[in-house]
Amino acid sequence: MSTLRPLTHRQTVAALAMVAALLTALSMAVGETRLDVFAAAADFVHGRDSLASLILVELRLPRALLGAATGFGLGLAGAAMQGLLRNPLAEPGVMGISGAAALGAVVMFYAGLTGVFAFALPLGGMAGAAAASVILFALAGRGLGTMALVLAGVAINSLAGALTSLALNLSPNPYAALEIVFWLMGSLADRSLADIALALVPAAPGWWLLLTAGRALDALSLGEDVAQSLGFNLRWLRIRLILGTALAVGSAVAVTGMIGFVGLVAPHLARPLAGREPGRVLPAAGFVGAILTLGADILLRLLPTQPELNLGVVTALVGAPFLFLLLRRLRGEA
Amino acid sequence: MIVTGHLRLSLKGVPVLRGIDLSLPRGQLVGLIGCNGAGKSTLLRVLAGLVPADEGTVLVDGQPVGTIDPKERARLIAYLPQTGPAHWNLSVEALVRLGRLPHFANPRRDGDAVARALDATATAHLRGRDVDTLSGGERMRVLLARALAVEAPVLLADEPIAALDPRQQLLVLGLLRRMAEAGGLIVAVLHDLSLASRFCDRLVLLNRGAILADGPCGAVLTDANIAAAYGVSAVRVDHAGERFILPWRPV
Repeated sequence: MSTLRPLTHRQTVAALAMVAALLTALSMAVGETRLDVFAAAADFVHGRDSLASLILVELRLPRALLGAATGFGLGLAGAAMQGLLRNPLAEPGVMGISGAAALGAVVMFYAGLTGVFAFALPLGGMAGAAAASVILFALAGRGLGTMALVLAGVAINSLAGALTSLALNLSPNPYAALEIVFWLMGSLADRSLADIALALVPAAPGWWLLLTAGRALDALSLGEDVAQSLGFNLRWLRIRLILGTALAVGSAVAVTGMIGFVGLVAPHLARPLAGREPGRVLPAAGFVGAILTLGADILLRLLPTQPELNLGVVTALVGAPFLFLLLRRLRGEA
Repeated sequence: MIVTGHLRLSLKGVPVLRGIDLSLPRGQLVGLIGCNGAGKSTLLRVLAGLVPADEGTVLVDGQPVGTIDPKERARLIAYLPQTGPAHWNLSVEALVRLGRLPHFANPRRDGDAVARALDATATAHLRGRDVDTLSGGERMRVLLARALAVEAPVLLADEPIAALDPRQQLLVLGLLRRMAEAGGLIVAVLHDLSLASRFCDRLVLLNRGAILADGPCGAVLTDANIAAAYGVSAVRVDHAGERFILPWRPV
């Protein structure tokens, strides 16, 4: 009889990756139209232009891939931010990058450019994320400490939030305002493969920047002085993590809208599974983020609501109670 | 070996180091002593290359500390801060293993170094415990083990025995002493003058950012120096061929 041994870190991450892959496949099987996925896939492989294969490849596949990639980026960036700030309540939004990305997209709506060319929305989002990162870079490059960077992030967030409200306030017609509000609530629905390519091309190097910061984040668990004495350059680390988050999260938000709480919650779920060292949490939190996002997106399609709930609404509804639980546990520790 | 040339440093306009000239060869346990705010911790951080001095030089084996590749410097100089945070409630073993980060990962060599560091600090029995469950003294020894796991020829330790019970103080100072005898350079900030004079090869007495005295313990801990640096009178007691010093009254 074999005894149950705890999984090694590598095995845990591999198991989480497999669950994420399974959910990606499951996500393609769920939707408004009943679909024989295997028949549709066969049609596509053999080049038969059936309606089923069209739905699978043009609608379901982009949605599933976008969910996996966005969730991965959010979870990964959340783990990186918590490691950098050594604060369990940090998430990708603290640096102000997602808020600025949302503002950039809203400006495109407001200017009416979304009707003019297809990529206006994601490009606007990326411009917003880039603007926020440039500000943060300038501050980090000048040697500003971690806490001051957070304050800068809070300032960027509030400014982006205020300007987004201003755009809503001054919106020329109520339909445009409604469109903005719906977009801000986040969704994976009706994105094309081209949208996804646009999000993934910058996201992939962002993931790499974050995933390779593991050893420096491990060292930071003993504080900035010790991390520095162990040979890590903190200024470069901050710049690397800002750039990584901007690429991984900024590009995703630009395509999906705001999806809250995944970046905050995923690292906390990953820690008991993968170990508490920040470097170990990174990949695990990425896959947990993908699982959460795909799970929420499958759930909202199974719910009999009309119209379909927005993804950001579902993740926040699930995430907020979790935050309360977390606060209760933290009170016990403090 | 570390040589400093006329180090000066001001923090936010307040001069903290005012011209420090030190030559610290290998094979010495050097006690860095002085009253609160004398500049001991700052000097240690400058020696470790964590803060650049405003003026003057720190040479490590002849090379300015700021120009050494950070990973190379990390393998050369281990640094133990006075009150370090330990986030994420890591296991003791995982925490000590952080000392291996400057080295190229090598599971066997890293595992051996971690085991040696745990044994040296008598913390091997704690290796599976979570850091947040440790007492203050146990935590201090585990953090010391982390610094030892670097296996650097130079160890800069800021009050390594502050939180320890008497037995552990003696054991840790004995350990630092043996490391110096084995050819290491150990610079430790200490407040207990009796223990400092018993275990150190040499004392460096700082006063208001300058070196008041530097040399063998007997030459440094004179009544005049103790009164000038600490504002106390001291009594001396001879016991079994060793002399120890007890701060007695504020003057």
